[in-house]
Amino acid sequence: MSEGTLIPSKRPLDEEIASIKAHLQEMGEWSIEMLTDGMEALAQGDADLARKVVAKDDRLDAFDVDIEHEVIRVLVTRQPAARDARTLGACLKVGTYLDRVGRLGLDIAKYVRQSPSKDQFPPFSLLQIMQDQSIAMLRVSLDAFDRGDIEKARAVYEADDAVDELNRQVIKECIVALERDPLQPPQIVAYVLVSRHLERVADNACKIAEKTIYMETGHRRREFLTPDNKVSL
Amino acid sequence: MKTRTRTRRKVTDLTVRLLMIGCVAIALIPLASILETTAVQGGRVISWHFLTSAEPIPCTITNATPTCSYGGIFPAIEGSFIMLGVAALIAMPLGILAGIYLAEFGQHRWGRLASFIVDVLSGVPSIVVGLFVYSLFYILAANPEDVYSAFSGSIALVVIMLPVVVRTTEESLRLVPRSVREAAAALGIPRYKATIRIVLPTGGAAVVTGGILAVARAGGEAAPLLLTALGNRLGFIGFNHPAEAMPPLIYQWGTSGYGNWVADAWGMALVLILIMLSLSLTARLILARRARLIGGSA
Amino acid sequence: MSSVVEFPDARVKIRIQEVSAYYRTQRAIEKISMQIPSGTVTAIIGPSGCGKSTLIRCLNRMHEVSPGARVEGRVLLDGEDIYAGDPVDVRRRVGMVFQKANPFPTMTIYQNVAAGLRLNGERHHDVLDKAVIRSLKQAALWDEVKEKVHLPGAQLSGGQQQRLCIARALAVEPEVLLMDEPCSALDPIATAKIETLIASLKEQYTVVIVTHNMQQAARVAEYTSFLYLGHLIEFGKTAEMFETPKEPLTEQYLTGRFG
Repeated sequence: MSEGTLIPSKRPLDEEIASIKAHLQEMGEWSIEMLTDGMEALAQGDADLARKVVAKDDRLDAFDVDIEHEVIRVLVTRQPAARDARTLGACLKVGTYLDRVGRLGLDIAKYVRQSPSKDQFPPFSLLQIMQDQSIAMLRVSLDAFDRGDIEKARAVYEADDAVDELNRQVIKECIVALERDPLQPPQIVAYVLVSRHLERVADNACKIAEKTIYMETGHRRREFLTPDNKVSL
Repeated sequence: MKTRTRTRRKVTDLTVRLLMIGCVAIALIPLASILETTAVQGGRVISWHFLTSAEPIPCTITNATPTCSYGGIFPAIEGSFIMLGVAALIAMPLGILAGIYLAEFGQHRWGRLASFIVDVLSGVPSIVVGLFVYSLFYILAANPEDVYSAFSGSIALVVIMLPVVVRTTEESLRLVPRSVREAAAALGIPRYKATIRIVLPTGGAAVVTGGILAVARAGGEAAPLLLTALGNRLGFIGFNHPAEAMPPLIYQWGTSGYGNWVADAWGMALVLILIMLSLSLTARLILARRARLIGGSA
Repeated sequence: MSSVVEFPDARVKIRIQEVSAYYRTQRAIEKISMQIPSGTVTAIIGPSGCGKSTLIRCLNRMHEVSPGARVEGRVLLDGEDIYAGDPVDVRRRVGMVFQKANPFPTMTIYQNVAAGLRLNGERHHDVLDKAVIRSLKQAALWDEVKEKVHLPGAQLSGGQQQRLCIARALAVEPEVLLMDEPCSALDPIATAKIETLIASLKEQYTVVIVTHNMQQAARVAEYTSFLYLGHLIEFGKTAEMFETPKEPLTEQYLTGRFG
């Protein structure tokens, strides 16, 4: 009379969710490319590279829309609940965050087009460090999201403070430089903006980590991080 | 090749169909023959006088009608109706109540036993019923002349009708779906009220037709009445006196050898069959009307 | 083994205390304890055979109608034990709607709705008329049948018949309405109408609905209880349970991992 035998975990829904997550990984790679190329174009004053980055925006948008379609189709056909529902909600949000990351790369590339001279943007070591750290955070958060790894997600949070600190330093040094010589070339403003953008990339990585924790545990808020930054479950 | 199997199938189909029609025809022949003979033979003697008076009109030169010297069977008609009526008055309420009890409350061992006994009773030969009632009255009667009476005839008919009524009532109520009872119970309606006001009306048509068919069956029985009501050429003169009824009279006159009595027997047979037919038809009409009423959305 | 929500006493309509129910020797539900809050809709979900219908039938003493049925434990309606006293009284306060619509076949629409009142002694026609109209309106059926209340109830469509049964149950003004998978025999449009109707009832009545359709529970019920193999596994706010269930069994059921 009763049922209730557990069937093996492979349901069609599992394949569909895996497909969506794989697309998100692709989108992540694409937006990281846009970011890296944008910074490179800026460092080299390479207007061609900058144009290529701008051209990548269409594909970025296509990723976003496709993933949205996929998620909605699954919602309508499978009517998921519990973890499945949380996962799909998280996927939609992560798509948005990755879209923002790609756009940040785009904005960075646009600074090159405004002033195409090659020697305009001497390497600014702080920015370089920021770039490396935010991209590392992004990669880790994407990996954590793909595998549902809470510990890795927590690690992303921990790295955010360092990037915030770097951002503050860049702004401080730019203000000092401006005070020294008010007739600085316009790239000093660009430095501040680029630093801001890179800090936002790190923020988006943190949001992806947040969504990973929500997806796994159902807990949303940062309060679940105890004072020593451990997630209390 | 496909056409060959198809033709073979068609031939088989036709053959079997003809065979079945043939069987039906054979089965119907006796029935048709009975109806035809009764109609023809009985029709000869039917007349208003035949049906309403107790004595035949003596045939004289002056009033030689085709149907004189035949009749009258009024005492038999009268006796049949009265005894059947009384029997129905006793058997129907008893039978319906018993049927209700068995269907609604008789799920236990004793209920099932009672059901079984009722089944057995409905198969008892009617002559045995007659003998039983005769013996009963023989024992109970104060004087020998009280043994044969209309009352004992009625009792015999009750014994015949009762199992039929109980069975049909029980089965019609059993056919009422459980969901109806559940719905009534869930409304907070007490069980007895639900049975009388909801379950019984739902199965009602079948119960009524069961009663009608019980009457039709009892009405055609000769054997029990031969031993109980006996017969009475004077007509109905009281319940403690013998009474006439059609079936036993058909037997008596039909085997008598007197030409006009035999003819009268055919007449009574026709009357009897017509009454049975109309009762059957009424029963069917009631059922059909109820089915139409209920079977609205399928 | 189970996660359960507790309510303040004033809000508890039905208190189920360690209730077990049997069909002869087979135990259908085991030591279930939970509280049904008043003035809202509570859903009971679970795989087939988990005991949800049995549980709900213990709440209006319909379970004992089945042969060999037995109930242990206590069920308190507003603090009173429903198993002490006449079941008929309980059923007047706790109404029920069944899986397959079962209007009385020989009665008209009017007679069906009025049946509960009439057969319990109400004679006055104006009282009956008012009750019939009120109930049919509450069941969202009045507009569709007001021209034909004196036609047989069996001539309505499936969804209408079910609403007729709801009207009939509401006519006796129960305090609680139990619904045993009321929409499982209906098409999506009829189902949607009944779900809207259920939402409108919760102001006045306490509704307990058994459903095998999780999404329906999510749509209509404020609270949900999940049963499995005769045990209560989890009880909580529907929205929370469906997003983040507390028990692993609940999670497995909600994500379709039960065969």
